[in-house]
Amino acid sequence: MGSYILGRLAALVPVLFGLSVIVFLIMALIPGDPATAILGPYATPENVARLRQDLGLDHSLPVRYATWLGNVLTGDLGRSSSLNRPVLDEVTERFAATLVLAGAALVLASLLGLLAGILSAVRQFGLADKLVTLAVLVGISMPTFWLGLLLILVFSVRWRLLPVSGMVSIYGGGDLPDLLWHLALPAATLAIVAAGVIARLTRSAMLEVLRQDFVRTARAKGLTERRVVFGHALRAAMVTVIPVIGIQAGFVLGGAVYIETVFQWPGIGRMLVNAIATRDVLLVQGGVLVVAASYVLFNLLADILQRLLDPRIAP
Amino acid sequence: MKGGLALLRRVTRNRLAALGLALLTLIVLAALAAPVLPLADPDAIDPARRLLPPFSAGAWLGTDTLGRDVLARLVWGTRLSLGVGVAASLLAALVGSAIGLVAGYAGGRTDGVLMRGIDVLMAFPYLLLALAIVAALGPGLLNALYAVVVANIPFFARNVRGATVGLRHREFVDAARLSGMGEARILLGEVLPNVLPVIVITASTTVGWMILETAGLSFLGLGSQPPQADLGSMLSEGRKALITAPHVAAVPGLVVFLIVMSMNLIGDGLRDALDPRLRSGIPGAPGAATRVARAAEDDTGNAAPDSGALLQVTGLRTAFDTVDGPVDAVKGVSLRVAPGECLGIIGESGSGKSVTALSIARLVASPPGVVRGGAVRFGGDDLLALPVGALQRLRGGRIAYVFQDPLTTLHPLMPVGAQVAEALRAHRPVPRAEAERRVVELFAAVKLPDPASLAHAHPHELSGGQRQRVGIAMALANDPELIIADEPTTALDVTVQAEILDLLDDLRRRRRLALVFISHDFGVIARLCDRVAVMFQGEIVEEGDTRSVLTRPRHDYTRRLLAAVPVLGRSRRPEQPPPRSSSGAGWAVEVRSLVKTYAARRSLFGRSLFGRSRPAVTALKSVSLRVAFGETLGIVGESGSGKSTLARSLVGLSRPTGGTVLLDGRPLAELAVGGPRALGRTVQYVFQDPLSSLNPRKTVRRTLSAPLRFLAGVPSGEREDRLAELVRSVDLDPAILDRYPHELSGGQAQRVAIARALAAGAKIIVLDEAVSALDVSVRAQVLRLLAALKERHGLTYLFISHDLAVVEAVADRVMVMAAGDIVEEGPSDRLFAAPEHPYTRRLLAAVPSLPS
Repeated sequence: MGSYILGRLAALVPVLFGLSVIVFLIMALIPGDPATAILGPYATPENVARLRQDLGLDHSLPVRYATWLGNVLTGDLGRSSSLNRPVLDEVTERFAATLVLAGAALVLASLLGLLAGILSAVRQFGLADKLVTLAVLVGISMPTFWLGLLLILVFSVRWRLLPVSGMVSIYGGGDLPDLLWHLALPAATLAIVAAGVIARLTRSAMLEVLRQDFVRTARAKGLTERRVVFGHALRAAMVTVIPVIGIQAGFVLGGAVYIETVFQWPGIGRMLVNAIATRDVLLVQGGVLVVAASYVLFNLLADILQRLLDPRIAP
Repeated sequence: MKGGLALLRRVTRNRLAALGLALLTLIVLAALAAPVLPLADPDAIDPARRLLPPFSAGAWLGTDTLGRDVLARLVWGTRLSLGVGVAASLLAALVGSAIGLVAGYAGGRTDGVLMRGIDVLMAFPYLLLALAIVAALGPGLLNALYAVVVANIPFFARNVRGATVGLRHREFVDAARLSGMGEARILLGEVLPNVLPVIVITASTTVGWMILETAGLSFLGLGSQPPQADLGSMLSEGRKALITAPHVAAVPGLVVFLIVMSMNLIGDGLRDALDPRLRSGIPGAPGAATRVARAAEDDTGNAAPDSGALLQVTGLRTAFDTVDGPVDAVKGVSLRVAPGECLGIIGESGSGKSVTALSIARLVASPPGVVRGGAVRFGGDDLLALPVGALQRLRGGRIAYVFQDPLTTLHPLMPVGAQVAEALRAHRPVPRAEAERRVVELFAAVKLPDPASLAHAHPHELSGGQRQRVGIAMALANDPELIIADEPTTALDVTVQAEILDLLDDLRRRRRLALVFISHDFGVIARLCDRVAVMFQGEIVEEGDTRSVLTRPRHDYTRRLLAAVPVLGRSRRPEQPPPRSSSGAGWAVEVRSLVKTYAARRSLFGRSLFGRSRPAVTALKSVSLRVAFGETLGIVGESGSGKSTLARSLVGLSRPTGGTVLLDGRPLAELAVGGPRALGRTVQYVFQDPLSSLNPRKTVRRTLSAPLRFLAGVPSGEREDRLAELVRSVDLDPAILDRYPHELSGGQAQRVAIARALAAGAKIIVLDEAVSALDVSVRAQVLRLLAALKERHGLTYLFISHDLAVVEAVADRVMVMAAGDIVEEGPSDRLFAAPEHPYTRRLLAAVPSLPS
C-alpha cells in the first residue's frame, strides 16, 4: 500500500507540471498587453514600460515560466491588481468558502445518489425505480443556475424560510447554525446534478453486478437477500462507483461557479468570474492553479480508496 | 441508411426516447423557422412596454426589462444556443475521437504522449478549464464554444481509446491482417465501425452538457455579448427583475431544461438500442429465487412422494421470458437421486442440463427464468412451494452447489477463507475463531496446500484448480446431503480435472454425499457416476446405469452423440503414407530454435509505476520442428505450455525473441516484408472462437471478400462467383453471405472462418483450438470437413488442441508441449499407444475414458 501511494504520487508530478504549464500559458498568451490593461487607456508609455519591467514581461516565455514557477513553489502567487492584496491570501480565503459549499454538496450528492441507485436497482422496473429514474432524468438535465433562481424565489422570497444570499448573516452571524442556514439552499442546488449522475451509475453498476456468477454463488450458500445485496453486490459495485464520485467532485467544483454567482456565496468561483471581467490576470492564474491542484489531490484520494477496496488493481 | 432507419425504429420503440425526439424536433423546427415566423423584432427596445406579464396583448410571453418581446428573443436565443451546442459537440467528437482512435490503435509511445496530454486536461475540474480558456481568449460566444469543446475532448478521447484498445487485440483484427488488409484500412474499416456506437453514445450524453455549459458561460457574462442573446444571457438579464417579473428569467431556463432533457432521453434510447446486451429484451436484476408460476391444474406436484429418494424431480418445466414470449428450456424433466448416489446429467449446450440443475434450489436467474410446472421434492418438502427464507436455509445447508468457472463464481474482492466462513455462519452462529479453524480444516480436506495462509488470499491469486477446491470446500461447509455440480471441471486443464474428479469421488464416498453432476463430457461422467441421464432439447431422452447407457445406448440421439465423441486409443484412421519430406520441395513449415521471452518489468519503488513488476517469462524455449507438405501435425499441451504462442509465431501474430520460421522454404521475416499479401497467400490461421474472429459488424460476404480482394486480387466482377464457390466448398448455402456473425450457429461461423482461410489459396493452415468451442456433434462434422478439404486441396495442417482424443483422430504426427518445450514427439499411433515421456503418460492417464 505504501509503495502504491508513493507510485501514485510520483505519477502526479508530470500531471501537475503539465497543469502548471497550461495555466501559465493561458495567462501568458492573453492577447493585448497586461500592463496596459492594468494601467488603463490613459497611462503614459513610461509607466507602461516600467510596469512591464516590474511584471517581468520583457523576458522570454521559458524564463518567465521558470520565474513564475519558482514563485509559485515558494507560495508567492503575486498581487491582485483589482483588490490590491496578495493573491494567495485572497485565494485561500475564497477557496475555504468554496470547499464548505462543494464539500457539503458532494457528501449530500453521494448519500442521495447511492441510496437512490441501490433502491432503484434492487426494485428494477418497480415503482421506486420509475420514480428514481424520473428524478435522475430531471436532475441531470437541470440548469443549476436556473434552478437556484427558482428556489430563491420560492424558499426565500415567497416563503421567507431561508436567506436569499451570502454565507453568513451580516449582524450577529458566523456561528455554525447560521452557516448551515445559509448553506442549505446552495448546497442542495449544487448537489442535484451530481446526485443524479451518481444514482444512475450506482444503478447500472448494481444491475451489472447482480447478474454475475458470484452473486449466484452467494445465494447458493444460503445468504439472506440483504447480505447478498449489501455484502456482496454493493461491495463489488463500489469499485466502479468511487471513481465516478471522484469525477463528480470536479463537476461540483465547476458547478460551484454558477451557484456562487446566483447565491452571492463568497467563494472562488465568483472571485474568478469577477477577476476575468476585470482582467486581473494573476488572480485568475492563482485561483485556477489552486483549485486544479487540489482537485488532482482529491482524485488521488479516490484512487487510494478504490485500491483499498479492490486488491486486483496492480500496485 | 437502412441501418439508420432500423436504429431510429429501435430508439423510438422506447417511449421516453420517442417523447424526447418529438420534443427536440419541435424545438429545432421552431429555431430553424425563426426568420420566417411572424415574430416581433427581438432587439426592438420599447421602454413604454417594460416588463409586461405573459399573455399580454401583442406579447404572449410578456416583455423584458427593456420592453423587448420575450417570445421573439426566446426563439432566436434557442436558435443560437442550439447552433453553438451542436457545433461544439461535433467538433469535440471529431477531435476527441481522432485522438482516441490513434492512441488506442497505435499504442506504445504515441498512446503514452497523447493520453498524458488528455490526463492533464482531465486534471482540471470541468468548468474551470472552460473558464480559464475564456479568461485567455476574452469573453464572447465563439470563445465560449472553443472552451466547451476543449473541456469535452477528454471524454471522447478516453471512451474511444478504451473501446479501441479492447478491439485492437480482438481476433477479427488479426484475421483482417492475415486477409491482407493494411493498417489504415483495418483502423477505418474494421475498428471504426465497432467504435462508432461509443462515439454516438458519448456524443449523445455530452451534447446536452455542452448546450448547458455554453448557456452557463453566457449566464456568467462570459459567453454571448449584447445585443446578441442566447438562452443563458437572457436568463442573466432576467435575473435582475427576478422578484418583480420572474417570467423573464423562468422562460429561457425552462427551454434550456427541455432541450437538455430531450437530448438525455434520446441519448438513453440510443444507448439501449446500441448496447448489444440489451437487444434481446432487457432482463431485470435476478431476485432471491426463481419465480414459480405453476398452472392451477398442474398436479405433478401431488405425485406420490418416493420415500427412498433424497431428491425427486417430477415434470419440471422451466422457461425464459423473452420479448417474443416464454421459451421453454426444460420441458418436463423427472429425476430421482437416492442418498449417497451420483447421478450424471449429460447433454450439449442448450440441452437444458444446467437450467435443470439450477432449478432445483431455484437459482435460475429470474427474471427472465420462470418455473412453469412440476415439483422438486427434497426431504419431504416441495422446494418450488417453499418460502424464500426456508429455501435459504436449505441452500448451502443441505443442498450445496459447485459451479463451472471458479474465477467468476467467487467474489473477486473477498479473501477466499472469509467466503467459506460466510457459508458456515449463514447457517449457524459460529464464533469467528471457530469459523476460521473450521475453514482451515475444510481447506485441508480438499487438499489445498498451506490452508492457513491460503485462506487470506483473494481468488485472482490462486490457480484455477485451487479456486475450484475452494468452491468445493464452500459446498462442504455445512455437511450437505446433496451436492449439485454444474460442469465443475470444464474450465480446467485435463490433469487438474483428473485431480478434482478424484477429490469429489473420494469425498462423496467418505461422507456419503449424493451428487448430481452436470457435464458435456461422457468420460467425466463415466468416471464418477452410477447413473446417467441424457438430455436433449430440454428433455431427458434416456436414463439408466452409466455403463449400460454408454455401451448399449437405446436412444438414437445418445447413439449419435457417442459416435461423435473421439475416444482416445480408438480412432481407426486409414493407413497414412509416411510424411513425404518431400518431392524435393523441402518442408512446408520449418521452425529453427524459436524462442519467446517476455521481458521482466522493473520498477521504481520496488514495484512498478504501471503495474506489478514481474520476472522475465519464457513462453518458448528454443522450439524446433518440421512439417512435410500434406502432413497434419498435432500439437498438444495444457494451458501455459506455449502451444498458442508457437502457433501465433508461425503467422507473425507473435514476434519471437529468437529463431527462425520458414514457410514453404521462405523465411517468415522475408514474407512479412513483402507485405501482408505474400504471407497471407502462404499461411492462414483459424482461431478458436469463430464469433470473436469474425467482425460483428460485417456480413459474411464482406468478411470473405477481403482475402479475395487483397490477397488473391480477384477483380470485383468475378468476386460473386468465387464467393458462392467458396461458401459451397465448406458445405454452406450461398444465402448465408448476407448474414451477420450473430445470426450464425457456432458450426456455421467456424465454417465461414475456414472458408476465409482457404480463400486465397494458402496451403498451410494453422488450426488453433479450432474445434474446441464446438459441441460434440458439430465438432465431428467440422473435423470431417477439414479432412475432406485437406484431401481436395492438398493442405498442410498444424492442429493445436488441448483435447488429446481429437488430436489422435486427425494428426499424422504429434508433438507434446509443456512449459515452453517439446517433451515428446512421434507418429500419432506410436505416441498414443506407447508414450515414452512421463509427462505424456500422465497426460494420457488423466483423460477420462469410456468403458469399452
